[in-house]
Amino acid sequence: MGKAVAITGMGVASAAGCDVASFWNRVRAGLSGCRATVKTETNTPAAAFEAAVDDAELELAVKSWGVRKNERVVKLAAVACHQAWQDAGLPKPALPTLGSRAGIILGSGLGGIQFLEEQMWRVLKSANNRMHPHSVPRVSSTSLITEIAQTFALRGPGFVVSSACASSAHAIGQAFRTIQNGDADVILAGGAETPLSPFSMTAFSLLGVLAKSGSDPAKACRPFDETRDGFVLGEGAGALVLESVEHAQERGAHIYAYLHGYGQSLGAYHAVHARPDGEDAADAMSAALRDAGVSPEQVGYVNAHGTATRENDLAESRAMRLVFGEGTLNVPISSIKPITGHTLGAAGVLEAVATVKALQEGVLPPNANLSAMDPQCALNVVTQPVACDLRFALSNSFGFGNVNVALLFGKE
Amino acid sequence: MNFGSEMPSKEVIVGKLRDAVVKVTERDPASIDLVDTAKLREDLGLDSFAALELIFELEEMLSVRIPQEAAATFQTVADVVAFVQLQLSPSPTSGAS
Repeated sequence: MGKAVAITGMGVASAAGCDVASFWNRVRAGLSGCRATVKTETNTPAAAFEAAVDDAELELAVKSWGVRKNERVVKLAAVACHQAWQDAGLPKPALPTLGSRAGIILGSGLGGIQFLEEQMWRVLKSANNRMHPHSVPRVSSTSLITEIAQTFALRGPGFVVSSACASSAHAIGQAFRTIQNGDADVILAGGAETPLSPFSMTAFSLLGVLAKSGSDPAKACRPFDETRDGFVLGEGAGALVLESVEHAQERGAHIYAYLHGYGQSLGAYHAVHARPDGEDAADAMSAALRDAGVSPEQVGYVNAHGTATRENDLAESRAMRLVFGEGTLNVPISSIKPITGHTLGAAGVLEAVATVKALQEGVLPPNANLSAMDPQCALNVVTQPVACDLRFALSNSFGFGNVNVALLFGKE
Repeated sequence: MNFGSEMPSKEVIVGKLRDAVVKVTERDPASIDLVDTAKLREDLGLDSFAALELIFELEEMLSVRIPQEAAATFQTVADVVAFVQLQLSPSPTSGAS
């Protein structure tokens, strides 16, 4: 048992808003940030819908935070990190005593793929392999942390995690362990993803996991519904300031919630199919509970991975039954992906922010678009915002390749 | 960019240089003062990393080739403009016969 870890700051940049207050208002109200894709002269999108961060809103945030010119994925990450750092009341840049004990661990499934895609077009069209002179640092996932580490003078632990849709949940988990072990006092943890380019959108479309039916983008993603047919691809970023409770108390910081448990597992089953029995997802959830010393009966809410693919929701439902047994229907659960889109590597942190807000405000965010529950899922899905005095909540993140993470947050 | 047989004026080259600086730095164009003596590093705030990107953007905008060895010698706006003008000037032998 290492040091206790608190969440003292949060930031987001998402289709549901470019600040935590706007994001939480939309998530709590079940208002979708999804929209129809637009065909242009040079591109016919492979998907009907997308969850994009508003360009004007992002540029405004970039300017107001003084984020330097960079790739979109880095800008998103930087905006979320600036918000979280300021929210935590930490100095920027960090003084050397803090900076040497502060780090940044972010996650991204695809990293600089949007930049790579642009450069590949350039190379293919040129006769002499002409490409941007800074292609190495820009395509590298490490670019997500270098800009912020420089600006904030962070000299402690730092790296980027890539584990598909579990990336930012893994980043939070690894930051948690690092602080528990005493290797840092403060860590910016989260992730960013920008998959709304022709390559990524087409690639996900070819896997058959994107929502197809209907003409209303807001209703396209329907987790746990009998008629669900996939998710809306989204971009975004989020960041938490994780801090040892000791350090937070010493400086009189506001504590939103506590991170008590981190569980991870592999399913060793398939590159993209979910393990149908849900055992691997259940292993991650049980590991988080054990890590926290919390029993399944004490969990008051689960923020589902809930992608709205046929396979994920069924496997997650089975995992819930393996963990909660006969008490499964006593545990409220919801997915916020109809609101944020599926932001892949950034999903874990956006959902962690929603889970922390649920704990802090005592309101469970609804699972939008559930009109006919899939009887095979048989869960207690929250369809309206519910006031609830929560003590402990789980947040699930499951990635392609059967990479699973669960985080257990507590109000105290 | 195709300038045809016309060599672009100094104003056009400086205009493209301004576009390139804006692209590299994302600064407000009005805040960029491109007088001849403006130094790339001190006055425009371009470190060697950003200067490399500036040259890359300028090459694309003016369809001109600026070798790295030449770019490494640029100190001021005038140095860049003079080199580009030289590259874009008609060959001395063209049309001689």
